[in-house]
This record gives sequence, C-alpha cells and structure tokens, in this order.
Amino acid sequence: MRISRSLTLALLLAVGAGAGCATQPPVRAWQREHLAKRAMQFDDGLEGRFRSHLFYAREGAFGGYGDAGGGCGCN
Amino acid sequence: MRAAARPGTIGVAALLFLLAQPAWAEDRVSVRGMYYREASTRVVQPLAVITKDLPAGFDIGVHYALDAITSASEAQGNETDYIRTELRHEASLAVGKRFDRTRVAVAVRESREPDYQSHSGGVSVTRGVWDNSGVVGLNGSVARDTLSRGALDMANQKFHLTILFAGVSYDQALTPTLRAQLGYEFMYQDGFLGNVYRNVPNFGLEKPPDTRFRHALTPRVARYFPTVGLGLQLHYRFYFDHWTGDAIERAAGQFVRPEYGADPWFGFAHTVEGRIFKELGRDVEVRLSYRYHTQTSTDFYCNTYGNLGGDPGCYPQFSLYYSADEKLGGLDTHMPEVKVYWTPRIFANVPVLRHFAHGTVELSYAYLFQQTHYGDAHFLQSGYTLPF
Repeated sequence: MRISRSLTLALLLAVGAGAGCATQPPVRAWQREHLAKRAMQFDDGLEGRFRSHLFYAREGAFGGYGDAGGGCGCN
Repeated sequence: MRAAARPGTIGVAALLFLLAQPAWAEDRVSVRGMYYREASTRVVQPLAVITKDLPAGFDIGVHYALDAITSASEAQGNETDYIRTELRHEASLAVGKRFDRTRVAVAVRESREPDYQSHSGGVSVTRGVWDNSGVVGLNGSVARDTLSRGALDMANQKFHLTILFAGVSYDQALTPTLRAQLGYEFMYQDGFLGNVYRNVPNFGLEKPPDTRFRHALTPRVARYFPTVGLGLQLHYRFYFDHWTGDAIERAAGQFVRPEYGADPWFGFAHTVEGRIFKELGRDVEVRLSYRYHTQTSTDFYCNTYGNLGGDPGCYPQFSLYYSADEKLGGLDTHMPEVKVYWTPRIFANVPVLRHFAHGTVELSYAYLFQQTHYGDAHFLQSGYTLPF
C-alpha cells in the first residue's frame, strides 16, 4: 500500500513536471544573456582535455571531462 | 610510452572534444601550449585545432598535437631511473551535421609514438530540449591501443588494450543566472592495464587485473551575479570501480583485503572543484579555482615504495595481481589555479595586430600537491583562440 502511494505520488510529480515542461521553459530565449558568459560554461575545451589526462595519469579516477583519457602511454 | 611518469598525453579526449563542438560553433582556430613539470617529468605540448561550419548544416574539426615528454622512468621498479625523451603525434578529424535542434557527429583519431599506438572512433548526439533551455547529450567511443617496450624488448612483445566509453548528460538553465548539469560516464577497459615499463619488486612486470568497469557521476552548478560581474561554479564527481572477477580469480581469493569480497578494483573517489570568475573591465577576466581529490585504495594494491611508508615485499608470494602504480592506492591531491582571459582589443587599430584583436588570450598556472613519489607539480597553459 505504501509502495503504491509512493508510486502514485511519483507519477503525479512526473506528470506535473511534464506539464510544466509542456507550457514554457524556465528561461526564455531573450533571458539567456548571462548564460552565455564564460562563468556559466562547464565545457573547458582544450584546457579540460589536458587536465583530464593529467589527472588520468596521476589519480585512480576518471570522468567529468567528457572523455575517456588514455590512448597514450600515460598509465 | 613511458612510465608512470607520463601525465599530459592525450587520448580519446581529443576525439571527444571535437565531437562535443556545439552545432552553432563559430569558425575558429586555436593554438595552445602546455607545460607540466614535476621532479622527474617534463611535458611540453603544442597543439592546434581548427573548426569550421560548412553548408547544409555540416561542420568539421581537425586537430594536431605533439607531445614532448622527458622523464625518468621506472623501468626497474622503484629502484633505478633512466632519462628518456619521447615524441608523440596525434591527429583527429570530426564531422558533424545539424538537424534542427539535434547535432550528430562522428570522429576518428590516431595517436602514434614509438611504443604506443592508439586508434579510436566515436559518435555523439546532442539535442536541445524545452525550447533549447536544456541540452541532452550522448556520446560513445571505442579505442584500440597497442603497447610494446620498444627498443628495450628484443622480442618485441605486444600488449593490447580495448576501451569502450559512454557518457550521458543533461544540462539545464534553471533561471537566467543559474545553470545545472548532471552527467554519467562509463568506461570498460579490457587488456593490459598496467605499464610495460613498471616492475614490482620480486615479481617483475606488474600485473593488474585485465578488466575494469569504471563509473563517474558528475553534478555541476553555475551561478552568475550580473551586478558585480562575478560567477561561481561548483563541480563534484563521484567515481567508483567494480569488477567481480571470474570464477578462478574468486576461488583464488588472494586479494590484499578480502573483506571487500573478490573485487580487486574495489575503490571509490570524491572530487570537488570550486571556481570564481571575475570580470575586470571589458577585456579581462580572472578565474580562481581550487580542486580537491580523494580516493580509496583499490583492493589488490599495496604500497611497495619503502621511502613512502610502504613495504617492497608487501605482495604475498602467490599474489594474483600486483602493481607499483601509486595511483591505485589511496591518495589525496590538491590543485589551486589562477587563470586570466584577455581580449586584446587594444590592438584593434594597430596594423597587422588588428587581425588578432578579437581573439582571446588565455594564460593559467596551477600547482598540484601530490603525496606520491612524483612530488608536487607546476602546470602552465597558454592559448589563443581566433574566430574567423
């Protein structure tokens, strides 16, 4: 019963969110001036690529830079 | 391919960088220089990228990079170093096509150095959603690497490594000054996952498990304060490894910490980075950042570096896996960085130089604090990007 209520609630939330999406976005095209600022960009481009390989070679983790690292003798 | 001491070389990254170019990318050329220096390693890398929009919604990107790496390699485990300098050439080509809000791109990449060759190909799809206030991205790639010990191995034994990579991300503008992104990346590696120059005391060439499943979950948020021209970013990454091994390996059960079960890779990591952007007038912007990374040790690894509190004989006699790769152990790193962006509009009326007035000059310096035997490192980057 509890699971069923949870599912119903989740479904209502999803439908609500979907309905919201169907009406209008949170930020309209003419409101995006600041979103184009450098400070709002997550992609580091070439800089991020080099950083990702540096960390690939010196740390045991990977990810977050949109690339797999490797492809080189940096292991 | 040398050693653990190769930090800056580029791989599938280049490919995916080109794949990731936005459909509306302006035509531009970028040149960069990177310099990395730690006690036993120096990397110098010039690099050039050109991207151009073509008719009918197509775009193209090409890149070339040259790595010059000088390092003292650990060909004799932790005992003896020797100095080598090596060059690596890398080139890639990517072609994209835009269909309304969707962009599809394919790319290929080739990397060559005397003892390491890598070929890869990939595809990416991005689509604007919700009136383009959000972007969904999917990408994947396959790489096939071939390793050898070069002139050090008269028998010219070859090692191979296959890498599958997949990523999905969702980026959403939440308000006119707030943006968030959530990404998940997965990598499957199959083949020789060690370094063909790195030996383990009493064992010889290291032997890590030959399969690895790697996962990274990366939420990010950015906020801009227009009244003061200030931006803040917070990046977080949760990373974990897993692999249950095959039946024989589970039966052997010879891992260093069997309490974690029979997963030799078991380990996870947290990485946090904060960035502050400040505009200083019309043409200059400064970025200050601090990155912290912490990770647990993988299950099979033990520290053989006696000068770093380890025990050269820590691996049991019949260990299934053994490695002297310190990044497989528990460690923390810290990296503060300062970066300056400059648009040289002051040259707008200067003959010849006026052609460069609308590009962007970038200069950054970072200091990497490491606990490993590599020691701390200096990391300098410079670049110039010119739209045309």
